[in-house]
Amino acid sequence: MHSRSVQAVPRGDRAFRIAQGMFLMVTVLVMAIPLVMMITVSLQTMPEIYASEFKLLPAAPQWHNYADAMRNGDWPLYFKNSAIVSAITLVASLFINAMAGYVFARIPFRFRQAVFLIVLIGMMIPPQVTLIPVFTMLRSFTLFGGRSGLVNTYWGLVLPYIAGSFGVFLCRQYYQTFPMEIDDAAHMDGSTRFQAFLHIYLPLSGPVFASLAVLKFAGTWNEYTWPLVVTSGERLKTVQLALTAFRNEGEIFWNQLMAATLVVEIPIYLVFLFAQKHFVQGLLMGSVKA
Amino acid sequence: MYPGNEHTERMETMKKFLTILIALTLGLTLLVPALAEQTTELTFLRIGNDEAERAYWQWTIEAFQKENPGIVIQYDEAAIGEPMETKLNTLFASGTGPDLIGHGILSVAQRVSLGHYQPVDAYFDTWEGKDDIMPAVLANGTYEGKVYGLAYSVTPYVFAYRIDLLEEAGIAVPTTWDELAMAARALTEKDDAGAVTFSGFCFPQTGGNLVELDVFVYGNGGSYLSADSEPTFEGNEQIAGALAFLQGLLPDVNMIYSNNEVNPFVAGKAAMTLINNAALTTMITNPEYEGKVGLALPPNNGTMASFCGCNMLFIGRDCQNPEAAFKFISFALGQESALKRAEMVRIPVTRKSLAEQYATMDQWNAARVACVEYGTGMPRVTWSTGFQQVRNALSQSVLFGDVAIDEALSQAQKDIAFRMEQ
Repeated sequence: MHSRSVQAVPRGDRAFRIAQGMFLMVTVLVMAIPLVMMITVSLQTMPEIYASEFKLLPAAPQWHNYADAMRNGDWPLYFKNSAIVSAITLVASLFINAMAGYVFARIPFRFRQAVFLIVLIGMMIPPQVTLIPVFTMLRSFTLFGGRSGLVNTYWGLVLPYIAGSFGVFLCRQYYQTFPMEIDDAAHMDGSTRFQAFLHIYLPLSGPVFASLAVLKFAGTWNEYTWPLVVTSGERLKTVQLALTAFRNEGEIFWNQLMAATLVVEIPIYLVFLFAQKHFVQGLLMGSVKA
Repeated sequence: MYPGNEHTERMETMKKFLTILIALTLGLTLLVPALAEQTTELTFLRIGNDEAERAYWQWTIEAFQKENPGIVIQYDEAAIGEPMETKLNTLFASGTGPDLIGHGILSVAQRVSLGHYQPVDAYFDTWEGKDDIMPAVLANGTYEGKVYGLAYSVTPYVFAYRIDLLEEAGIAVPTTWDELAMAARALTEKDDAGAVTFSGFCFPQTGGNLVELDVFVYGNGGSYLSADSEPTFEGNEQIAGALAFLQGLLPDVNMIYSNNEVNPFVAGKAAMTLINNAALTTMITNPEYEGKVGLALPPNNGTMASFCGCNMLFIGRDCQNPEAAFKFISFALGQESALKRAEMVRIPVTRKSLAEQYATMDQWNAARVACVEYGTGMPRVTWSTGFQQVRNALSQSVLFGDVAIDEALSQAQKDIAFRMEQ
């Protein structure tokens, strides 16, 4: 009797684990297939890609496709531009979102809830709707950018990304989990609100910053429409804009496009690898109140 | 409570300082444009962003600026499709549309109606190259009797065939529909179940813009529009004739594909096809097909015709110096620039006087030029996007569905009327 009951539990458990494993394997396959296809195509010749029979592995890997792709345009400049825009956006937006989140979580003021609701509405407005007003606004800052305002400047590329409803929301939820006693202790020690934020809240923001950093970096690095509209010429071209150059009127050079896409995505993989430990933790942290 | 009296006072001072700073900034912001130096600077936005085309425009701009030191061209580009439209719409909506725009036929009616393009007749009429532009090409940029755009780039659909296979079968290059049908049937290979394994003539089932049908409609002496630019699908004998010919031929010889994807001809799976000239580059430069690919004007049923898309140079609504802008257009379409373009980008010339010289540059250039000369582009109407969808549906429902031709044409007429109303 005892042995039967001992056997029954592991059998159910094993079946569940097998099912779970199979499900995970299928999911991994589904997620991995596009990446595998990208790698394969990036190593094929154009006739191989155009051939009617599908071949997973190229007859002879064409590593030069990567070099050819990187010769199509000034890629060091594109990477530099994307890196500058993403880095400034990342640092500035983390700080500003954290400050706004702190205000909504800790500083009582009249209509705080209403203002917070207005901020949340920002999450529901698609960026396409604000594209023209933001562009017109940046163009009118002629003091900084001359006749074209901030259009075609780094500031024009960075400013619209710095604020973000989602970041404010995430930080506010996270800071609400902090005990009020922290603020009281800081006040008793003579700290101002800003000092308390700077010396207590910011150092404890690691997990939420890790999540936000990954999301913000990936979002800025992968952004296409705004750089397309706000920049002109080569000087400020970002990597995403440069990726569209692998086609002409008649055809798309898939091998070079896939090679360049894989190279362009490397920084995102690196940022995610670096921050993955805290990524999910940070996203979930504000969802349950301590 | 956090803030004490001292803190509040500091905050008040800070507020005052910030208010003055903002007011000063705004004031200077308004002053700067007035103080800015006046130069003749023209912004130029071109559709497409491939390296070869960019190199050509850089060469042209450099040469133009050398010849016209007072004018500076600020070159920009946007990828074909949605990116170009998004960028143009944003610039026009903010009142800063480009001075010069390089765009396609589909943009003509829509952007002219929106007032985004300026007519160039006043400059065009006195231009030395006026009578040298191929009439079919010039028509693409003309709308309601006025010239708005002048073509710098043409993308003709050519009839591509496998020289080796035709020679092996002892068949001459087809020039008529009957010859095409005969050759296609002779070159098609099928398996035991009757499925086509090698297509004699391939024609797309789906795609973004099924201009292949247009080639047959025009080749049958037909058109989708009446003289006053009204749609004429219902009871149109030429469209019906083209559809009937294809309906009778394709089931025997075709290998289904989408014209957004790889054409079976390019993949070595078809003997003949209609294809965008530019899409043949990979095949022509592939050593495996050296000497095996030939080009010709598409076979027809009495009217020499093809489809020919093109990109043109327009002067934008917000351009303050249209004279300088046209100077650039005339330079870019000048003989030297046109030949340089043919050499650098391998795109057919649009000036009659250059056709002969262009033909000597490559064995198949004469065929390419013929496709440009006899080519017709998309209808220049405000409902051209709707037309594209209705014509695609017509092609699919008759050639790859079981809808009768008359019924499909009546439906197309209703659909286009509905879209025009919209």
